[in-house]
Amino acid sequence: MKTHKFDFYKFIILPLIVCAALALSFYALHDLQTAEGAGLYLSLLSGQSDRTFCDILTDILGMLLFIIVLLLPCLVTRNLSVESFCRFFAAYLAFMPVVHPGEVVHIVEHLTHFVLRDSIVTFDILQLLFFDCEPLFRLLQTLLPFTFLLYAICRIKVQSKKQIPWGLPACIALFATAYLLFSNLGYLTLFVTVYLLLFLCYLLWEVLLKELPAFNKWSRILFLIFLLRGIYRILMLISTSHV
Amino acid sequence: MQRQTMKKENIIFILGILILVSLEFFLHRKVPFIMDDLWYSTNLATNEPLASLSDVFQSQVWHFNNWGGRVVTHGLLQLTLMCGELFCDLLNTVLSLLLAGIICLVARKRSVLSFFLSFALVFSLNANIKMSMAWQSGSANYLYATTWILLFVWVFLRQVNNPSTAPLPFVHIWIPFLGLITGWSNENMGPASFLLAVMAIIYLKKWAKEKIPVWMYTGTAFCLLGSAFVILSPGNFVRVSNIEETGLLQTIYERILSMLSAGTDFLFPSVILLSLVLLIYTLCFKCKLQPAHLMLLIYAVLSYGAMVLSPHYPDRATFGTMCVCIVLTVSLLSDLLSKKHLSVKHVYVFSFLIWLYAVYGIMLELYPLIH
Repeated sequence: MKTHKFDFYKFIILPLIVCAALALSFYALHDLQTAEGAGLYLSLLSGQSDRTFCDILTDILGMLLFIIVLLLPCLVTRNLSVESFCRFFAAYLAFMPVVHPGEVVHIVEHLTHFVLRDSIVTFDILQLLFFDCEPLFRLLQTLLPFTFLLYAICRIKVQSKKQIPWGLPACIALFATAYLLFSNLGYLTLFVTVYLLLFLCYLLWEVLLKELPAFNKWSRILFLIFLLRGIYRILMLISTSHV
Repeated sequence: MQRQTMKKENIIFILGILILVSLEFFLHRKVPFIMDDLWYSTNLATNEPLASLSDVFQSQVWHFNNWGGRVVTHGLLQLTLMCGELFCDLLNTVLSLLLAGIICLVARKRSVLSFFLSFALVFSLNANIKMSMAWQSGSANYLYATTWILLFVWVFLRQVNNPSTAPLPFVHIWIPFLGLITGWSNENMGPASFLLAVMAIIYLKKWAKEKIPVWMYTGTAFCLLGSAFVILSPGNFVRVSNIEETGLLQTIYERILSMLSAGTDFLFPSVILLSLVLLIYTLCFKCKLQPAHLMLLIYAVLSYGAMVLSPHYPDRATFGTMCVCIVLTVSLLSDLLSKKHLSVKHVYVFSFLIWLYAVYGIMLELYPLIH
């Protein structure tokens, strides 16, 4: 009779890590949104004198949105394994820019018009590159060479070239250009640019894992480093926004 | 035809290096002597401006007894400060090129591409270019020190890579001095270098079954001596006694946070790139890591881990560990290229991306200084 060995890592360790990371993220979200007054703004808009209900609503909605954003790549690729989700979660925490609830509540106002950056209007290329675009370049400092190396390996190792997504880089370039041009859309386009790049890395990684299953075990060290970075960033966020 | 193409590519790499060198020199010119440079421009014992070598000697004796053990780097700092800003700027630029050369030497890759990649990586992966290479105190502690530390590492790894190789000329004479200044450089790289030397000796004795030359023992012993000087100097204890005492839990929390910040923030680009290259090298292409690679990996981990004993781990202090990661990255990538696992086109594009970030990193430091 065949006995199935209980996968302790898959069914205990990984879910525990996910729960702990989500709990920490929720704590940081709560601190950030109360400090930035996102819940307060919504309570004022709705005419409520007590902000508590709106604070709780903001926390719940924020977490829901966060989980959806994390699950999206797994849902799109129909890869619903815990390990795959963990990989993207760890990479998200390590690379993505911080989502400020204070900015999110005003996002609709920003979408009503386009405002060209001052540095483009005045042709100040130095200010554009080394001041306005610094956040984007900083975020891409590790991600871009990393993505390129991953892409190079996939080109060599992956048998079916159709598995490598070609349309995504064009979308990334589009949003990066929009970030360069429009100051009022800077926050949104920065988020989408990095998110799409992360999505591309996720797709390349999953494709590579299919071709080289042996990659999986040792690559956990890489994702552990991502997770540790994510934890560090969350701790820094909490330390600055906790009241 | 192939030779002509290679020549054209080498010209492009050299142009890229020249652009980086020019930007770097311009940055050095824009960063004057600041902060600790001004204090070290004086005789630390008498508070008078430095006037002679004896002032430097007197300063460093005071430094050793009252401030800290890094008398080699700070003595060198004082000597360079006495020579003026232009001399320091030229020296820093030359030493950064020398550092890239030594990285290629340790990685055992002598090509224009390897030099180009090493030089660009020093800037693009650097957590703080200004404070580790342009600020004169930072240059002396990190840029200069890492240069001779890697030279020491090269001498030992050279033996590991080829146990029957003939020793370098007059090594018995200069290795004690090199070992001493390596150990005496800073509190994490010094002891880590000593342990690397011990690893090399153990490897040669136990696995390669080679007779250990006397100079290896001498170099290791003097490295240990230097490390003892830098860690056990009376000045370190005087400084520690002046710091406000915190509880054990608070201390543990702060140390964990500083190690997390160094490992996952300052060293993040170096570690992630190296990790990916290692995975590609060993798992994708099934290449075997050489003993020297493994020793360098342990060396990088030790140099990072040693900082858990330090109350502070600023971004510039990750410079040495970053350079060790660069040695490994360059060595493994060049191996993959020479074995034709990676195409030339891919390595060129990757190198160009790194170079672009190196230029951007230097320009980011320059922009507030010229705007």
